[in-house]
Amino acid sequence: MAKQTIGIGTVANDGNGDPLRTAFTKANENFTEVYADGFTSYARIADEFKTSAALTTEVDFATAQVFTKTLTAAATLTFANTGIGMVKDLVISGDFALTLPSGTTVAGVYDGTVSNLIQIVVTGATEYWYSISKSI
Amino acid sequence: MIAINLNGEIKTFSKIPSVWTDENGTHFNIKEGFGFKDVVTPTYDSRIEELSAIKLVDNVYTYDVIDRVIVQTLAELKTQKISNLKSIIGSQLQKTDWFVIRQMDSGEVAPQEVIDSRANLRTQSNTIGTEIKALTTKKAVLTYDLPTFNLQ
Repeated sequence: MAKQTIGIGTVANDGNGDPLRTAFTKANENFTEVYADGFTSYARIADEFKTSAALTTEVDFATAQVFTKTLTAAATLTFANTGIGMVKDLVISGDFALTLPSGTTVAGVYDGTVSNLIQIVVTGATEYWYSISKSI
Repeated sequence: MIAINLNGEIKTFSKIPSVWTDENGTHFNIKEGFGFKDVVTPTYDSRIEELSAIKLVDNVYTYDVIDRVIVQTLAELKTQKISNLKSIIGSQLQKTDWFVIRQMDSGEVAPQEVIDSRANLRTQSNTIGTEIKALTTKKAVLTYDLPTFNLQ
């Protein structure tokens, strides 16, 4: 259902607004749809969870879901706007040393000869788990 | 092999770890640096020498070669070495024992080359035994290489 907008006329008391019952019926139907299961769809997710961005040195968790970078020299990345439970993906290639903020647990091995998917899970204020998968 | 000093403790690795975490972050795909330095292991004779604690010298980690503490006495070492010699000689003689046993049982004379080889082994055993007994230091006994035999 498309969002139902309550008619409010052009100016106060101009008689062009929706009747009170009609207005609250629209409000109820809008809320019914919002509270129903399955309301949240990919299209309704914020851009920070469904966009890809090229990295410089800062992984800003509020800007994109996937970050890409081809290393041309050793690089140190920093994190910004992290929040517990956030999960972000880095797609990194290039046979150079890569430094991320200290992670408490790490799985996988970075391979400079292929593309690497580094998934970051934020588990605490400055606690990160990294896991690395590689293209084959 | 490489090593790194971690809070005063030198830790060795067969190669640089694929993932390394320090106060500056978690590092991936490192090939050198980050505090890792090569380990140079000097050659030494493990029979009489051993390596000291690892230490940093001229930007590489290495060891001093120090004399191993030998708890056995000179006489004990000689006895052990001669025992080893007798074991080697005995195993060689064993290969042709059946010729001698057959001669005793049936009277069939053992081939002369077998008799000569066995006599030669005993002569060598006596000669080597005398040499070992004449050694005057523990190191000399421990580094005395017994010959190898291959009597068919």
